[in-house]
Amino acid sequence: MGGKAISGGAEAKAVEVLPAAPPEWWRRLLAIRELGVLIALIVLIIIFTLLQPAFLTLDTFGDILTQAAELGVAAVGVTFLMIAGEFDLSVGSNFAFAGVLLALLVTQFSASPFLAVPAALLFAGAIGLLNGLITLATRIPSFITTLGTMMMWRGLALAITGGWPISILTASTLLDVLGGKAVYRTLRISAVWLLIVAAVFWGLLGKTAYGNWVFATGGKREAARALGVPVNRVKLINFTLAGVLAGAAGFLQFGRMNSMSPVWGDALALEAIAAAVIGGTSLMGGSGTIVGTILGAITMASIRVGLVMVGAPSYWYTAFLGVVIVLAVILNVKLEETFAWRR
Amino acid sequence: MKKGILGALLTIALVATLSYAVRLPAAPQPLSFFVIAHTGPGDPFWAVVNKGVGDAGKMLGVKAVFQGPPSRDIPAQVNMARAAISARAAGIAISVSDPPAIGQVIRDARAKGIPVVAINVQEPADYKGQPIPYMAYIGMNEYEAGKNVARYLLPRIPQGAKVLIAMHEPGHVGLEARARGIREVLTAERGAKVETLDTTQDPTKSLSTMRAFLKANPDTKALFTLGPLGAIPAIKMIREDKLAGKIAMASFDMDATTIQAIKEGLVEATVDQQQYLQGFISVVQLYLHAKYKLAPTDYNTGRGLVTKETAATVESLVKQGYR
Amino acid sequence: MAPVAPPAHPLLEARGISKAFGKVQALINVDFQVGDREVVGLVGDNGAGKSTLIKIITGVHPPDRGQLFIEGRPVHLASPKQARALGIETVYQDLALVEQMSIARNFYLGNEPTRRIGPLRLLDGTTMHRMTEHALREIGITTLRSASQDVGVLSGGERQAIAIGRTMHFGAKLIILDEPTSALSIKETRKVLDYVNEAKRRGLSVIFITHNLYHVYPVSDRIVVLDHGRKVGDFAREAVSIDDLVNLITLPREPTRGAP
Repeated sequence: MGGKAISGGAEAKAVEVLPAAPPEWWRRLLAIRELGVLIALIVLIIIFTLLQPAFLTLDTFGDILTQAAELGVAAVGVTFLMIAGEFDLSVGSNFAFAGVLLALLVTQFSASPFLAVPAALLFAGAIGLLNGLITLATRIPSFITTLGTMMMWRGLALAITGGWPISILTASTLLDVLGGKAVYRTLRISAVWLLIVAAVFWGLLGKTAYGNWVFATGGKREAARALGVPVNRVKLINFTLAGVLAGAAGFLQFGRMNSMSPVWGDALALEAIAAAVIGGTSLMGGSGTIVGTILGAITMASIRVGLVMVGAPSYWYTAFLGVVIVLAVILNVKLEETFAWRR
Repeated sequence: MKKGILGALLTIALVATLSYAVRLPAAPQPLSFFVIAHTGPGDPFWAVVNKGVGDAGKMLGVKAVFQGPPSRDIPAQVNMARAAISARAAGIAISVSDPPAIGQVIRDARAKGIPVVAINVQEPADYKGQPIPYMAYIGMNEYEAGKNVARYLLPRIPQGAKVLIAMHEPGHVGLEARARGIREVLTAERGAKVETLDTTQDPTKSLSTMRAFLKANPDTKALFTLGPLGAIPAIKMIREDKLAGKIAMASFDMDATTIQAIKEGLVEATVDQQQYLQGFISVVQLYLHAKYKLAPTDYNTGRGLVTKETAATVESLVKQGYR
Repeated sequence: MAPVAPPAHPLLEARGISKAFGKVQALINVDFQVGDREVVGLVGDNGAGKSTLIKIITGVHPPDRGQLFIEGRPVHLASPKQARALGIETVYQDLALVEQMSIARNFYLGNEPTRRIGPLRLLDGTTMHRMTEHALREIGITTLRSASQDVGVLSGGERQAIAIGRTMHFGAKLIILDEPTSALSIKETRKVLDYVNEAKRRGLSVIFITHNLYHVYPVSDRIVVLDHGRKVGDFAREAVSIDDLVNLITLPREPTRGAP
């Protein structure tokens, strides 16, 4: 450096007294991003088991995983989109519409499942893509645009079915494969689908360049754009994937219930967001984990099953679920703040 | 990301170990009975069933629990039933709200050796014609009750008159049966023009839907609602729009609002389903079966109408939650 | 080693650049050059036209009049992407890094290394971490535990350093620093200025935009002063003092915003 020389070495050496560095394994443990939801889940399991010993059995866990499947699959898509910084409130309507569409194709139009399933999935993806296009073109927050499409697709589902559910009354391989068949005692195939979807998206998010782009798009869009990340394309892709998974979740429900009603999936969007948030995904975008969301969905299913098993009055149900969600979120935030150094 | 997988594996390992470590007896030691409906907290009707269930549990000294989702939700009901099965319930009473889905659940429960009785909705078979293996039905015959109450209102309905049925839960097989009974009697005896409207479970929507219909059809002579969720907004409308005397109303089931309206002459009659018995008797029957293997039997809970004459007596019981 | 002849052309030359936005004339006939291995300080008060000039150089806007030359070749920049492809990179102070992501992920954002596993192309995490840690050490950041830490744990100066290091690592020829020191402490400012020198030592050129003459002065080879859209000074650093520059900038001057 030219110019006036600043005399170096004249400063007294700063004496720093650092607290003893915490052990590595402790740091590693606290660095687990899913720590909050893990703690919540373990605490709940302990409480429910103390109140009802029958809770801690493989049968119960099969139930819980099966019940978590529909919510979990949709929530994975929602999480993937939230990390990119957008919301989709229409997943419940997509769930119903795509499910009803599949049901109609297979019953009234006698289409082969090999055609009907991809067709309905494509449509579900198109619903998601439409959400993305509207949001990006109008620059209106996705929260608002998908609120609108939510009502639109729900209305269409009601209109084309007249409000009536569509059932398949004969034994159906399609339904078995989608969700009906019991794989091991109470564990149904829908739970297997959940694990497959979770694995695929865990890989996509964490192990590919695209996943890196998703985090950047949600974390700081302009910085990402400046480095050449096609942020708009990333968002559109994620909207589409959220749609596909919402439709897939509808198929799982169809498989499990042998019928599909246009009024189902009402609370799905908010529950999916809840599962994501319990699992540690940020509402601001830029951070989140697939594993966390799965655990969040499992937590919510555990609460539902557990409350029934311990004989809690139904009237306190939703209230209890709400309290746990809030506590889980607070736990996550507190862990993040207190142990920011862990990463 | 490795940390995420590590965490997930830890959880699964922990849980699996604990599962294998815990060996359970065939059934939980205190007998527990589950009464599972397709809705619950949002409908005053079920609060009475809840009380019946609770009272029976207390009297018999067993755990008896009422479970139901806040509003009609078949998948949630199925989930609750499966949880009850996993809890090794000593007996389950369930409303057959959706024959295919609930039928399957009942079959699974029976296969696991859990006794099941049906309440509130009587569906002996699912849509395929396959019988649903519940051991007894405790509830009202909806169709007959519909005919019954329609007959009671015949004097107020001229030939060819317009009649409105407010359906607050389309797709509910029990309500549909009530409506069918009403429709048959009115068309056969009076050639009436009967219109069924979806008024939803939401009271505000219900009120505006009915009001709109009456505005379009001011010569409507009678209004039938199928339960408190339909009756409460309808009674409000009759009060506000001063329709007493111009339109005859009848309903099903009882709650304080409907009883009061009967006393005031705004409503002609309501069918008393005596749903307290649906909760109480089903628990008792399941208990007797669990303890002494006594076979449950069908029990018709709803035989009477409540009219102006009997309203006052019944009213205080409604307030206490028994009827 | 035989002495290398200086290149015939400057790295970047902007000749006769004018740009207007509606009625406002942002730049009037500005000539601007950056030589090889040169640090140029670009100073001037608010509204002088610094950011407009930079936007033209980085391909965000086309000039109304004038021509850009890169290494002597005339170019027409259609987009920022094209400018980056030619080696012109910008580092904005708060828009460079994503706080929720790790340093390694930030470093390789947009340039992620991958390896093929069967039909899939997966992120090469090991290479990312190894190369990032190597690059950090080269830049002189030694206080970190690993490249997998979140960017959030870094100080402002360190973040700037990583952003600058990133541009160097991925082959930029000309780095434009937009107010790199304005939110930093004294110690950190010193570090950033050190990195600027490091970049120069490695063969890059730097355009350093700032309000703070005391920061830009020690590191610059030349200083260019803009005022109300015109170039009013272009000095070799030795030829001018900070006071001279201050006087030049604050000289009352008629704003001439009409046609040049």
